Amino acid sequence: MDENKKYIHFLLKCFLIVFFLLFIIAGFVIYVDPFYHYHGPLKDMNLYVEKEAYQNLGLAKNLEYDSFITGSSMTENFRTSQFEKLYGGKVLKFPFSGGRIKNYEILFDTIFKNKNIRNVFYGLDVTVCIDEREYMPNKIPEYLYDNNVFSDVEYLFNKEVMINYAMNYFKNSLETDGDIDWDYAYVWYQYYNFSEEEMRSTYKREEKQDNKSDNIYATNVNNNIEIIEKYIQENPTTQFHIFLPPYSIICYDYYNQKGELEAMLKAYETIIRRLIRYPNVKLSAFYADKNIICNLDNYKDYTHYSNQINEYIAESMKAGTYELKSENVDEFLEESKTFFLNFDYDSLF
Amino acid sequence: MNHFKKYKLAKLVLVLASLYFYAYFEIKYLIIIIVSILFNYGLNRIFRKVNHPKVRILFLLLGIAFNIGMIFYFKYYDFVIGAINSIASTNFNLINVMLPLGISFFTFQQLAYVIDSYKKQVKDYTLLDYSLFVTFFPQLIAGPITLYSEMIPQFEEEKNRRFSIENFSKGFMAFSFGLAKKVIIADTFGIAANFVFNNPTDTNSINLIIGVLAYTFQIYFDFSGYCDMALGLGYMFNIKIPINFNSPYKACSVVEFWKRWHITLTRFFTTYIYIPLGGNRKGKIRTYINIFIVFLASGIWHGANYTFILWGIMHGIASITDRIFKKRIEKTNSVFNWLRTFLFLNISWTIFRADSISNALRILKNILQFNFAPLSPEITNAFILPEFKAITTLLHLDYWVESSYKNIYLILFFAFAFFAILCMKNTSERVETFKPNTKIAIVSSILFVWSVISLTGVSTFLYFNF
Repeated sequence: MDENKKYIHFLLKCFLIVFFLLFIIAGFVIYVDPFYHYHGPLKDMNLYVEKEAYQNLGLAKNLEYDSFITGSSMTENFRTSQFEKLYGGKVLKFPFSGGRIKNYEILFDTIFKNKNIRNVFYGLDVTVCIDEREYMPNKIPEYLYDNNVFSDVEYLFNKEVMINYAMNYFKNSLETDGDIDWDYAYVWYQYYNFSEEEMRSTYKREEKQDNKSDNIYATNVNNNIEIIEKYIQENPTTQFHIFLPPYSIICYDYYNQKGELEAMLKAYETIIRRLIRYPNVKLSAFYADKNIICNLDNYKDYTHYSNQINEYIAESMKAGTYELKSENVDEFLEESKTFFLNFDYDSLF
Repeated sequence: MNHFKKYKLAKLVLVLASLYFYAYFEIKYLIIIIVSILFNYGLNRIFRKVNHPKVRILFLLLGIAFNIGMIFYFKYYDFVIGAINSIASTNFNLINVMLPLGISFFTFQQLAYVIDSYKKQVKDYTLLDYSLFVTFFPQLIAGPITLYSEMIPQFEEEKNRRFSIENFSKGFMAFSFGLAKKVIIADTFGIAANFVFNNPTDTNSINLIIGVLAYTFQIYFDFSGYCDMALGLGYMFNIKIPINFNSPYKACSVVEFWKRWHITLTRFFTTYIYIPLGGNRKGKIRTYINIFIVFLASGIWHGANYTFILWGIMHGIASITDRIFKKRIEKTNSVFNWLRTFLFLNISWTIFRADSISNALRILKNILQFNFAPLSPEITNAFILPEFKAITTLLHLDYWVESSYKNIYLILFFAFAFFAILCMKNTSERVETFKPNTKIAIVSSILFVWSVISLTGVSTFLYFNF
């Protein structure tokens, strides 16, 4: 065999091995599709839900439902079965831990393009609304979010996806049967202790700073609310059940120490006044309920409440006991403002 | 295109592709590299026409000032201003610019070209050839620092214009080995090294020793992996990029180390600093001073931080003492010499990697406290790659490994790394002795695929607030 032929054979072997391996790997990932990018869960395979940023979008596209819950970790402990009992239909949960407006924007875009939605249950964090509109602390895997087929190579040729997800799901499906219970998807309460002692141990009080103008968040809040309003306006037949979560009173101490409490309350006011204008929005404000926020045993840190509070929120949203309407909004804002501004924060320590 | 004898077009496409590759990282810096090419090429044209010695020297100084000034502005401006501000309590503004990729490499290549143009040693190359030399994408970002005189003639050579299946095969092998060195070995060591260097207050000596050693391996496999990839890509285009790493950790003295580590940088400093300063022709003391200056410059070149300067000083002093005690070292046992050198390299890499000199000293001091505690899980877990875990599960060994032998992967990694640096052939040697057999085809292909699927991971979110 002459030299040249040897090299041709060498390269042929290389290309055959490379293409064979890549083909097997991509084929397997497409078949199992652990992040539901191409198809929903296979008939004979269980449904696995564990990576919000990676799986939410695929699940939202490929599963059947008419209502969904979304929001930050404030919504992760909701039980979908409770919502189904209260509202009927099929409810799924697509929360984003550390989620920012951009996360929800991408999610809403995908869902409203593909689905007819009856109810959206949305935990809107004021702490999210005051951030920059494009800010996302948790990087999202862009290859799953863009519509570029070529970027999918990062999904198809990714050993972690292949081994830790595709192979594991496949193996577990062979060994067990029974799908994931959506009530337990993304929940975290079982790992924590909710008590005053626990929550106090996680909080370090900062030095008091001078009070800043109450306008410092105005631009960000307006930009963020505009995004939410867009989906509310574009989907008039969808009912948006938006709630403002009850962070502990310590959270307000945090902003008070930073000198930003008034700005924070102003942000609340903007959000509330703008959202209650829409007939398809039911806005429930839990953030000023003293019974919840002043009982520090409800929390594991200065913002995260227990799953019992989640249950209570779900019930109360249905009952409408915390709902704000044009008739009661002025009174509510006045009262809550007086409460937060006059509270003796030093007495907590 | 070369096939149709459109040589100029072929070169132009390569230049444009390289510039596109460069702009892919940051489009703004495209303009910097283009200005730099045009300016330096323009100087060469001037040196070809102007004969007046004073004018020539003026343009030489202008060329040096331009190139050094550019590196200085992007790389050191903030560092120097910060130092002035802290010493003189002034308040000059920092510019906070991002460092253009590869600027230290392409400016040095061009500096050599300008100086040699002044000396009338440069042949008359076209702007296209010169641009290709500077931008040639395999070496643009991380070196090696090539010389125009070894690159441009290769672009010109007739036989290099035809696709060579032999060179392409060699290139594929070198590229696969380099990619695997970078992605599988260096990046894994990198996780352990980062953990230690990001927690410099850790007092567990075991953690620190593993972290320091991990960085010593990371920097070698990372940098030499890049150079192997450059070598491989070069071969695919029939261009031989000079060797940059010749198994440096086999060195038994610091002098020998610098003959094996980042060879093209040593060559640049030798040609353009050491020899112009007089080299070793002006007596012992001047030789030592010249060596010291070279290493100080090398330290500064590596980055804008006191750590790099100290690192350079350490290597300068070690090179000088190695020379002073040359005879005695030659008589000493080579294993002892290797250990001495390797220990020195580990210490100097610690200074090089740490965020500040005080952090580096803290790490070294804490190692000497001999406070041996169990290894942190973050370090252990860095080496448990998903594929290794899958294999142990497949063999039904996972319980056994996880309970008593969870550090087995770490030990295997370090054992392999020591074996690789001391006993294995380096990539340049592999290319030279390359035989197109099935074994190499299988190894190269598997390494290639294994590296490709290791490039992207699935991130774990650490942030848990709201």
